[in-house]
Amino acid sequence: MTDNVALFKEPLLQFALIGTLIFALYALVAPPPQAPANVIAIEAAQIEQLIANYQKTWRQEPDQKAVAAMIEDAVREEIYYREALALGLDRNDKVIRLRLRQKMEFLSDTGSDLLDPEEAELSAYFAANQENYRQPAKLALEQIFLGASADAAEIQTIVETLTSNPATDPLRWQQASLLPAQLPLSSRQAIDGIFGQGFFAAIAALPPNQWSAPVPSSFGVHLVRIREHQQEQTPPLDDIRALVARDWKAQKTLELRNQLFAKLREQYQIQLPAPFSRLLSQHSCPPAC
Amino acid sequence: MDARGFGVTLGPEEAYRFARGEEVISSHGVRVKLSRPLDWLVVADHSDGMGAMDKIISGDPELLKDPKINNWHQKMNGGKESALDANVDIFSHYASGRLPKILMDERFTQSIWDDYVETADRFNDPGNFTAMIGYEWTSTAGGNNLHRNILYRDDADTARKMLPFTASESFNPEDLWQWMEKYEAATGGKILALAHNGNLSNGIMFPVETNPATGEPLSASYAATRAKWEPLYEVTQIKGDGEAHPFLSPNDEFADYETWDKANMGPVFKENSMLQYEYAREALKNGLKMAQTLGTNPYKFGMLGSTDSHTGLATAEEENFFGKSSVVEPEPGRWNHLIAQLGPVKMIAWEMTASGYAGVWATENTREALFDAMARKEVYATTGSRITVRFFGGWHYTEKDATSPQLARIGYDKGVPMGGDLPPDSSGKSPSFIVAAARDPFSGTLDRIQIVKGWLDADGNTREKVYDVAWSGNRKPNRKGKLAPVGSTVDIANATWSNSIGAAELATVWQDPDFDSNQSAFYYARVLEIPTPRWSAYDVKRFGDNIPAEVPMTTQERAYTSPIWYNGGQ
Repeated sequence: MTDNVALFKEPLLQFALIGTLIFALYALVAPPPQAPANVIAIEAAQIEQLIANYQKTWRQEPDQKAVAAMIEDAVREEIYYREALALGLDRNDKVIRLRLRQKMEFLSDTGSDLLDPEEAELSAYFAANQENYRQPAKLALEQIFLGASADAAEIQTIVETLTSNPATDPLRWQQASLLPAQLPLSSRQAIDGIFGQGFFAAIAALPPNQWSAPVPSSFGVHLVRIREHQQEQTPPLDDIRALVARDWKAQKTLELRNQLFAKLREQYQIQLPAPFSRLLSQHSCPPAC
Repeated sequence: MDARGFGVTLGPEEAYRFARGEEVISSHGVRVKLSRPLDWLVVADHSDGMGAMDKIISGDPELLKDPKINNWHQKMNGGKESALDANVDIFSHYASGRLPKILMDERFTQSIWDDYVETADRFNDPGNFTAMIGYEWTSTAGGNNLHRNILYRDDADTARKMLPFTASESFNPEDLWQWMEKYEAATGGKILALAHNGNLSNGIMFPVETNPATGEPLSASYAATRAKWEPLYEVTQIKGDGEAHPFLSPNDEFADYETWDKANMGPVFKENSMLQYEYAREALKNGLKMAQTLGTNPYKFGMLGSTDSHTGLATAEEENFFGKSSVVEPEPGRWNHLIAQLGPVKMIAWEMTASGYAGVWATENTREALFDAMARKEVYATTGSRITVRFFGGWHYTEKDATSPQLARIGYDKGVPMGGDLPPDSSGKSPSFIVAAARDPFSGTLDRIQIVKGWLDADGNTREKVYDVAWSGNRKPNRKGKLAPVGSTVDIANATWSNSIGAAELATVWQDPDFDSNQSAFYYARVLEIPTPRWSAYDVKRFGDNIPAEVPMTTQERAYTSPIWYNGGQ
């Protein structure tokens, strides 16, 4: 969505529009200005770029009409751009400021594309950030959904039948439901996402390969048989090398960005009212934070 | 899932991390995390060009003629420390405007598109998390929203072969379709498009008689081309819900859900006559009619939801809603932020809808499987809660199919899933439908399931009817067939509710009581939750905001399935 409408309520724009009107009126009654006409020089390279973009978009050469249209559009864009700058429309515009900030960061981040961690570096990073790679405990399970209003005696009968004859097909008692009857190894987040908060905790300590006592969920009552219980673990680096390398790179990118920013910031003196000035020096957050 | 990186400090990388369930820092410095990860995400960004770094690194011969660049090139390739040095040096040259002129030459631009598709590839983790490539074509002629998201089945190598189509080239969707045709022919890739916010198009999203771009009557080729490239429509999102409008559906008491109908996105007010070309249900109805004159139904689309957030954060839960753009985030007084003003009419932030998500019945969590499911319209929309819903249509379902634990298998075996066409049948029976829904365990229980039917009557006029087919509790429909409201347990002051009403799951087999085999029709399911606190109630509770009475404090989250169509007289 573009925020066209929001623009119209910018006092600055309203002001600018009024200013433009005055300027236009002035132009009607005043003699032609002394300054030479504005020149927009479009260089061959720029047109080649337009043509290249067209080719990259359409996979074909633009005809002369298309080239003319692109040039005309570039001229229009340039004129609006200049006029907008002259009117100061770029100032106090949060979107433009953020966009420029983003471009600066994009520029500083591009350099990190060529960084690739050496083995020792990656291992050290992995060792220091083990926390981030710990995989949560997981459970694989089967469940029989007995509905929201299962009768206690009935449940007892089912549990007894299953205990005495574990080969019984559990589908016999399965109530109609969109809940899965089996789940592969899944985390707390996934299991609670399906059955509701607290379900994982309620079944995590169950002994494997036997049907449980009734377990309540957001849907009703279930009998659960744990098929596999995988403890919380940190996989070896080799299994998640690409992931760790990506995170390492993300961190390096951020460091680089902050270093480059620090260089720029050095060139500025920040003036603040006294209490805030003290605040900033107390909590100043040098590049890496 | 359109999270255009415009005015946001979070990029696609953070958007993917966030969607995977990781905690990120929002543009305003707030720590934010989803209650549960998403399975997949499309970041629909824009193309742009800048940067020359890759050419310096690779040593473009023309650039290396410049001694300074040559020196940087050596350093860049001379190990990490010297590369870092070179980078700092280039950057400070850039920042102080001393960069060699040749580097500013636009021939040496690196496309952000390249960067974007590579990032998507890095985060794409088949089976676990799908980062689907996509972009938004932001056509907004005169403030009329004709936006489309374009989604790719392909990986970066294919997607980067052509640059995205931009709105600066054309505002006309027919040009976009032409570009799509070209893309598939030239690259061997597969793409599709889906439009959103017809509610802000001021009557041109779903034209019926006249092509808004040309003023000419709509042609058969328009209908066929649109049907080919736009199998889906984004029916709900932050800028309002687009399923139905009370003016068009006066007998549907749930049609007025989070309606945005004051104006388009520019400065033009809405008139009632525009509404018939803006809402999904009306378009589905008109499509049946147009198929008869144009040979193709141009509006035979499946329905899904997205956030369209511009925050880098795909939040749609009431309790964790980060809004439309990063101008305001959850903070005291955000409800009163002015989004837009048009004369006396204001759009205030409280009108934002915490919506929506897309449910996809795919065979696995990969780009290919998700895309294929979208292409066959086996998808549904939710307004942000994760309701599960199944919908099948056929000629042979029986009542007990709804209570089978193998419901989905029976659904496929004896009929077609959402998005499909009822096959021809000569038995003279009415079609029947299996519909089943399970609540989101993090949200409210279910109030009811409805089936919305649209059809062409004997005179060729479009008609619609909403049937209550399954509901919670012991309510009985009254003589007019209306079911009483489910009630409310919401405690607004504390932004809580209780699931003491509603059902955890609902399922039934429903047979159309008014079927006429000569009349074309479509059927889709609408699932309603019980009332829960709206995001505005959470803001009041958290920030002590004093919000006027006109701001709704409760909401009934819902899901819309894609329709199943029946071709009359077959």
